[in-house]
Amino acid sequence: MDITTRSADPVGRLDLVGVIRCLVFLQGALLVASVVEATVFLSFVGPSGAGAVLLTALAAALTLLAAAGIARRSRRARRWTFVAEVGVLLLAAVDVALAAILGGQMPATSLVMRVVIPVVVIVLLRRAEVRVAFGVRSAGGAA
Amino acid sequence: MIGEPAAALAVVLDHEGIEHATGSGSSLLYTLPSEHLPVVALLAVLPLFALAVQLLAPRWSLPARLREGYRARPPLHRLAAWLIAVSAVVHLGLIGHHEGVLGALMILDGLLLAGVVGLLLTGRRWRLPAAVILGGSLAAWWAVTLAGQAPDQLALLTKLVEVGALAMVLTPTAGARVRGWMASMLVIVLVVVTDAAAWAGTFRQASDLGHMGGASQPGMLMGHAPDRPATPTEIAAANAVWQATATALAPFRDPLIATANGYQVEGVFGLDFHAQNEAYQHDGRIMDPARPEHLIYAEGPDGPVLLGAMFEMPDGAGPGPAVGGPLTVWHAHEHVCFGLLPLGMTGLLSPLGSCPVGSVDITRTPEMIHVWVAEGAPVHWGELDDAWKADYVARAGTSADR
Repeated sequence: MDITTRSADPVGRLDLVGVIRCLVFLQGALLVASVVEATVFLSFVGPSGAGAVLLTALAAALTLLAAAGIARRSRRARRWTFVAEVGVLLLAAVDVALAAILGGQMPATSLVMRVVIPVVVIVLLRRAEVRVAFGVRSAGGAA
Repeated sequence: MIGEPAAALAVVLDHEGIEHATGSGSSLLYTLPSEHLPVVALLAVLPLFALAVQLLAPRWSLPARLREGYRARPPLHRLAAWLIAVSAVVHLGLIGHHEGVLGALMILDGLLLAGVVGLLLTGRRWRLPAAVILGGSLAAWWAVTLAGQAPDQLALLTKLVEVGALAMVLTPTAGARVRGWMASMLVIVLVVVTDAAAWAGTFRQASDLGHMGGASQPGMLMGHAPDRPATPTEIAAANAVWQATATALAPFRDPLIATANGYQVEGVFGLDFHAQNEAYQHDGRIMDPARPEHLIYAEGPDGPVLLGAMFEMPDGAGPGPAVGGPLTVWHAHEHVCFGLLPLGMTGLLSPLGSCPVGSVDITRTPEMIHVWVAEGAPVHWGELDDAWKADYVARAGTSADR
């Protein structure tokens, strides 16, 4: 969960990793808030909400670990973050489709947290200098 | 199965021509009010400013200095500069939207945030002032929100931007491991408190003002009650439906009979447990007293206590029939988080935009209306006071003829 950025890059280009780490960390912090919310809602929705609390707590822990892994330039953390962000986008797509069917709108905060930030993280993770920072030669292969 | 609906209620089932309530009053929590749209548009000033700096840099010294200052910063700090600038523009763009001390504080906050961006771009020490001003901005917002001013989407987005900027400002340089941990913890606390303040402010405003003030409870979409007393015809119709429902529901005081009729009565808890009947939810019948889509039980000392029922419109069927005019105002719910593992409600969409993991956001439910058949209930339709429910359940536990 340490958010220290280890930038040995004098011109700061590799600090894009710091940007990614900060965004992923923010997502993790939001999941922690979601755990608190879901726990409070348990008293209203009953035991059916317990699974959501556990899943969200697990996701929060993994996301914060991923942020720490990104700060350490861990290739595994980069890979898992990529997969998780794609998953977030897919679930957001489900919600957008549901909103279109049910006649509501996704609030702006939802769009930012569940679409904009994941897209930015994915784009940054795929940038050449970031791949180099993680010791990845190409999009699919490792150095 | 329980019997067919009384013929006298045919008017209810054929609800063409009956006055419909229009669901409205979406919570501010999920809304970007139209009066704030110009502020969002004002954000276009930022890229225009950046473009102007870029164009003027070869000729004038100040733009050149700003450009060089920006380029000298690492990407993390450049992004922080943009985020702080966004917050500054929003605060300054809200001049005139708030009066008195709050309005003055907004202007001061906007100017201070703009000043921090200036420090950053001119190569001066900026992180401590940025942390103090961003922290102060968040703390001031918490105070205003907790005092009962519900936030809208613009406020929430701005606070998300500020928390993100603060996370970047607090990110220590290499080697400061302990400071990194402390910064991480602080950011998590800031997000959680911001989220909690948003909930608290929204519920408080809804409680203080009620629907009359245009403040809905989060997750609740109330129909508009006609602004007039119920007519004798409406009173008679509402009473007829209520009486038919009360008669039809009598056998369901025994949860076993309800279960045999398809209601999911298992796991009753609290004072407002909705036992749904999936078959009735998809039978296409509207407000059928003999086939309410949900029964409402409370958890009693000796088992479930029947309090009433809830009629629910079929998916996509539009507003419910206001058979009793202002007596029978339907409502819907918005942004309900529905868990898939297992199936069931898990909460409401967070002010910061997410449902618990494994849940989808049901942006809008069909319309529904409660009908209360518990003996002596002070109201037959709509919301029933929890204190009355608790008292009734306690009395029911000691009553032999429940």
